[in-house]
Amino acid sequence: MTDVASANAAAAAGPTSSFSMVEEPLDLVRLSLDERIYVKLRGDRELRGRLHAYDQHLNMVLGEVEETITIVDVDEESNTQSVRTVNRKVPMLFVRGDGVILVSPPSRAS
Amino acid sequence: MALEDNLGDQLEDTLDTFNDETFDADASAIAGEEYDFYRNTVAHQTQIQQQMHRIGVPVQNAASGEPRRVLTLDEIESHLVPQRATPAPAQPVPVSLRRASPEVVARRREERLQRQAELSRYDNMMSRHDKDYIVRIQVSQLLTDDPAADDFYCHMYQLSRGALFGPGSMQSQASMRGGASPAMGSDPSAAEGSGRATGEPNRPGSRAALGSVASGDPMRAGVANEYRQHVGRGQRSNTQSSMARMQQQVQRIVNEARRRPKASQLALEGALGKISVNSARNPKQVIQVQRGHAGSVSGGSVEAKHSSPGPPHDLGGMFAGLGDARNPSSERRKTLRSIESVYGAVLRLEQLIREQVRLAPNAEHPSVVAWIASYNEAKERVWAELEASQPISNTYPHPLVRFLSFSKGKRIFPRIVHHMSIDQVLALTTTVIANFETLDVCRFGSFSYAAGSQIDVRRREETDLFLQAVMPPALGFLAETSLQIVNGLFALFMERNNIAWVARTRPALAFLTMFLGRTAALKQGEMGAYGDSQELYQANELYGHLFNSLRGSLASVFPPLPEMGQPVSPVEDLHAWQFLATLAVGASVEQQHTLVAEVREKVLEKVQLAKSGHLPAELAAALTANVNLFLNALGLDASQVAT
Repeated sequence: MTDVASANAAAAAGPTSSFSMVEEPLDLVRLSLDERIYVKLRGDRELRGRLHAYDQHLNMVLGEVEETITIVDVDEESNTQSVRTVNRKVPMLFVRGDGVILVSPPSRAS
Repeated sequence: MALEDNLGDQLEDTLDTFNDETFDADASAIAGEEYDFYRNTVAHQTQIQQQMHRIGVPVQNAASGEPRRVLTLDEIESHLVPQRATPAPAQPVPVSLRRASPEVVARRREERLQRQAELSRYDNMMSRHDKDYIVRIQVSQLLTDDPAADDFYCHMYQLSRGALFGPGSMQSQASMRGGASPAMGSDPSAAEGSGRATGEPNRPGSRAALGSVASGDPMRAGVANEYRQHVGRGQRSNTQSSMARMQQQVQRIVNEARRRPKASQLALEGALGKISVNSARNPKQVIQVQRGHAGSVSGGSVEAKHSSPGPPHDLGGMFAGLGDARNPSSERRKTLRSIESVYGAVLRLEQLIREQVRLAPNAEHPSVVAWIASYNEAKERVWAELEASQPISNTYPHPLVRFLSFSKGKRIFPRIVHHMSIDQVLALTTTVIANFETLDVCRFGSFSYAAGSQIDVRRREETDLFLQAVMPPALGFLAETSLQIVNGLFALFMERNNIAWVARTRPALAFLTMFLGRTAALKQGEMGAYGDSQELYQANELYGHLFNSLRGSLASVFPPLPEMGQPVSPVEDLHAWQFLATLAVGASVEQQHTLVAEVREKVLEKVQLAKSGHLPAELAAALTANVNLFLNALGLDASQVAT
């Protein structure tokens, strides 16, 4: 893989802390390191990408990300709503934990 | 500390035109639109021309009527470089680039000098002592006890960039955690770069600062590197001397700090409380979070479960072997958890190795004893998770196989092996061989060239990763061990796996090649030691057995052909040719006949392809070389093939 060769930030553990597997919810996120995950963000956005790093705020570094934005267009005259989605692909992304709603493994269908 | 120099007051407000464009701009005209570079450039043509004059970029004559070219960065730079290096242009300048006239030149120069003089009127307010003082204060805040751990990511980043620029002059003593081949290879996914790759101590290639950074202090390296980056051209001597001074500073401060460790809290005599001293390492906390009690309660109970005598996932009795089928997602999670646990333990091991340098030299010192204890404990942990002491397990697939089915499991394998004893490596290799069929890379089989398909791409990646990360330690071990063990493993391999099926996969071929090659080397090299011994006899038996199992399906060791129009790459079947070559080396005449008969089609095809002239020269040469691997082992050559 390319030359972005920083250490995998198993940030929750870090180089000096102990390795006991304390079972708190964030440790489940730790299990998904280096795996593809699905993240739901505020603003009707979703991300599917490979999790490289995270921290206790749920700031995350994702790679090979595909972002899906869902937009509802309201037609003023006829008062109808139509939903469309916008997709974009980003090779490497840092997500601020503030906007994260949920993190999960990708649904089997995708 | 605020500097009471009142310099700001001494500048007339009316003379301060620096920020006019920003502050006097019309917000409503700007807001909501993208900045139109072209329009603004055209509108400010004259100003821009003046500025370009000032920095010495040749400007096209406005009166010439030629359309103005916006010069690219490269062109501007190429103009600047000769300007700085030689004050007077050495070559005749083309007409369009010549400046207006000598008087204008002189006037502009005077203006420039005047401006410079004004700007530097208030220079040298601080003496060198003052500057050093401030630098010392700032640097002392950055000091840490454990540079390797605290500046970890910065350090790794520099190491990886340094490796790009070629091995630097200094070696870093901190062991490296990132940046080995899987992570830095050519795979397009930038994301994988943060891979947790081989850690090796004393790896050269760190772009350490000038001077001695022998203690591996990444802060110094980092600071000095940044300094070097921010400096422009032509100020080299300034930089070097100030950098040297800075390093002296740092050296002095480091020694001071080491001598007198600063406490993070201060409690004066007679004071009614503690003051906590903030530094970069313990910043002021905005929220006080209580961790510990709630966490440890749940942690304790989980730990108890994990260390219970029987492996929890081995349901035993009539459920033996069904662990996987009953709840695949929980199996997956268990494996992931064990992978993370191994990662934690390996990180701990590597950190301990780093700390080993600073241990006291005598062996009875309590810190040394403690160190040894924690080191062994971490190793035990890793070993327990891998469960390699039981090559054949009740659960299907073997835990180690499940471990290796994740790419992060494959990646950490070499780092684990680094810390293991020879026996443990033997156990690991045995386990891998015994369960070879069940490995995920084997079940993929031989993939087609169809690079478009997502699944195939992933399979290729996993197989490549396996070959890069997991195979080398095993193969290395085989290369060093005795014939008896090689025979044993060879026999195990053939016994537990369906050879004909498995031979389609690259890892299997690699193993077989190693087995045969090692046997051949041992036979030749140590003739005296083995002679007619049991081992030799067994080796020959095994060879015969292998040959017989593969008879009839030898052509299938080659990966399937690419479809029309897709590029043929010689790398693809290299492994197959190598295997056939090793096979040929040990073959009897009769066996050689069989070999040739079966593979003749392939040989002819490749040689024809190489000679057909459709391919570029290197490709054809590579193809021929591959075929020659095999043919030479038989005493033939590609040129002898009649086409």
